[in-house]
Amino acid sequence: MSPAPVNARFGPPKLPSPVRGEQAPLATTVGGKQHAELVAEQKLKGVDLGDVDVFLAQRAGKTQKQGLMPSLQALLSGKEAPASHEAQSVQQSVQQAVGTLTAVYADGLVTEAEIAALSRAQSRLSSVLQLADKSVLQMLPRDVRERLETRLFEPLQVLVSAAGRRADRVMAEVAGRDEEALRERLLQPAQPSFTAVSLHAVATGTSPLPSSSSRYGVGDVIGVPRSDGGVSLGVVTGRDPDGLRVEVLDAHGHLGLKKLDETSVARANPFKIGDVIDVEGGRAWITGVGPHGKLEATVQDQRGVRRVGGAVPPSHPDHSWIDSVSKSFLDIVHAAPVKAVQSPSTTPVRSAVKVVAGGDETSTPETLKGTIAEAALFTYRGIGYKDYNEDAAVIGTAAGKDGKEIFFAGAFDQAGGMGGVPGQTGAASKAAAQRFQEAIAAIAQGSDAGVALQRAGQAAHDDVNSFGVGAATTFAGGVVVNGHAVVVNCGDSGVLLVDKHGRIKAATEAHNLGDSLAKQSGDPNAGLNVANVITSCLGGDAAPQLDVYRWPVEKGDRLVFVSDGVLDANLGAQKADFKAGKPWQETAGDVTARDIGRIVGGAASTQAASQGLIDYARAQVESGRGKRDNVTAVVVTLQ
Amino acid sequence: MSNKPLASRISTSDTAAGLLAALAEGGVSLKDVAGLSTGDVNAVAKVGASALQSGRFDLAVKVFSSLLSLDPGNAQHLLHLAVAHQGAAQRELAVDALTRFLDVDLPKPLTDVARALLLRAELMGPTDKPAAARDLAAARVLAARSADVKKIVDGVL
Repeated sequence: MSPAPVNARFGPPKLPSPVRGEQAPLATTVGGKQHAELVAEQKLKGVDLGDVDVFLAQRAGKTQKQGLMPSLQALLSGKEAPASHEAQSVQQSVQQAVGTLTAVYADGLVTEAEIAALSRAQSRLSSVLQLADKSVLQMLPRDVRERLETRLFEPLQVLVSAAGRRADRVMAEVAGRDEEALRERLLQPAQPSFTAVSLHAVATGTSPLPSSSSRYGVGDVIGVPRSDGGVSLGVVTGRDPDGLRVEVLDAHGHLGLKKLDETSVARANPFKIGDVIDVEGGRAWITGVGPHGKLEATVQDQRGVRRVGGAVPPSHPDHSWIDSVSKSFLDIVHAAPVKAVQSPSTTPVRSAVKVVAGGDETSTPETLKGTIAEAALFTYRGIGYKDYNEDAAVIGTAAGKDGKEIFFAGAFDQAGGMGGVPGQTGAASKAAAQRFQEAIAAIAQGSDAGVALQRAGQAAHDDVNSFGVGAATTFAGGVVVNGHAVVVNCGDSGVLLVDKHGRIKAATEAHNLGDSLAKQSGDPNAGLNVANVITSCLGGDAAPQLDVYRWPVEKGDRLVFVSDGVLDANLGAQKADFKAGKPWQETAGDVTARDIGRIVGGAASTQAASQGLIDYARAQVESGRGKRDNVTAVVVTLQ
Repeated sequence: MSNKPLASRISTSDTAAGLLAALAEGGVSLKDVAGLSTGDVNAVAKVGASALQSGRFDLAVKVFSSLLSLDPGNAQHLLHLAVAHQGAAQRELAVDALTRFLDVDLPKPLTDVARALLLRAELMGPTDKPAAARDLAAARVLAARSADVKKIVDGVL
């Protein structure tokens, strides 16, 4: 069967390629509006500016006369509140509590993240405090008012005193532990130990990066990532089970304590300061971190010893970066470039699965190799979004009834639900991932792949609704079997089939109102006002629309399963340009699809492709062009 | 989630710090953390609806904006806040609340999406016809997908 037609979001690259943000002729304005914007509106089927006049005339004065919308009427149809009692005003004390919290934490001796969190918490708590107003409390049923007072307002005051105790205790503990660790280190005789690290192994992902926090001890100098993307030098003052405590001078010259988890250590320290790298013709010592995060090194070769600047460490060091570090030294010492190690032939994996769900996330791509394909999976919280990951992803292999391998992969993106409540994070996307795996078992037993995957989606929809917490999730899962990919999609995640040259051969259609509008009108800017409205998903009253795609695949093709954290990597830019009177000539989705094709088609390995998409999404958010969200990228390479 | 009262769960200093961080992220519902029920939240929302009905729009704004912080996982509070702002003649704030409702990464019934689009078109129409036209077009596209939405859209277009 030929590939399904691509939709507006993933449309094939048009020639000549429009320049992103290129300004269309804007010769005139009407009523203060750009002419191009007016023309774009008039392109919309069935709607023109005259309709707006008619609509407004019909609506004039009616809204208030028609009363409340149904959801508000439903609220009022409940039983009446009993006569109110004198409300106990707690507003003032709680306001004082919130103020005290700020003072307790704003001493600079807790992590930057904690200070930022407090600031956000304060804003949120202050808003809730409006409920402590007498005019509101008096109208509430007595039992509800009592619950608010005992479960919300009183605990806030407990929170304040607990926070104060914490500050005192933390300071005492930190001082005590740091002193003890320092004494222990000083008492130890100097017995340096050396471990050979293979750059080849690091570059190909078969060995962890040599930047593990376990290599650091009290007194070591370490790179500390700053919120502006740079790196400061710090000194390790202690260790916790989940990371390092570091004393660092911030951008304002204030000395403060920070906590570095494993990811932060790896991000700012692809190598440990003091590491020695042997290269052909010489040797390089990592000596420091420059003001912009550049590694600095001292190099010794035939021409003597000198200091050089290295490459800028990326957010997630990978093969390409290790390679670039090597090359930066190569210019000096003619080192042999790092070459990818040939993957050894492996025994076919008959049945294996890797699942990341329920709030879990990855810091490097998880990989899995089968006989017909190999896959890499990366899913994480993203940057500047939530403090946890609600996406889920699956890769795996199974043996079919005929003994042939079935390779499967999926990405599932949750919205709503109980967020960061322990044990509840990502419950909806996890349910989708579980049902997806059940479908694989059915397919292995001979069920039609499309039907089995649709049933899995429907079952996950019922699961999500049974949670009763207003959650929803997307479902983008597929299998490769007998030379075809069978994919089922619901929601605004997506699956793309990319050939070895990076061309998009096929793609799923996103269930997104913005995409629908762009497609129907032929105007790439028509749906920007509703770009985040999903028209179908798992969970909710409406039955999910589970679209089935069957695509022939060949060796070298790559299937890409991504959440909208990747797919919307240009949405922010298109919105901003439109607002500035510079409408795009293609959708942000088209631009992103082309970028995905370029990244995936040009990646040296499946792992690099997955990592490349994550790095791309991160860079787009950091430059303000993307959308802050959890991010998932699963890549399957056909062999 | 623990059923123990919140106050007893934050008796230690470390849990206080954890709770603050969790609250700050917005993904953790203060309603859930405090052990309040959906019924409790609805009782508060009813105060807001009653205030709307009786024309006390400032009180309605206060209630629905509080509910957004208390129960951020429910996008409907944004829709109701928009209606409250509209009643209080705060057009820009109403449009902002509707835009946040349409943009927020939370599940929302298509019927509510259609109502939000129509209300925003009405609010923006006098000053920004193209934007209103975009919203009307979006409502029409939605109407083609759902009979319930069609009923709402046909009622005003």
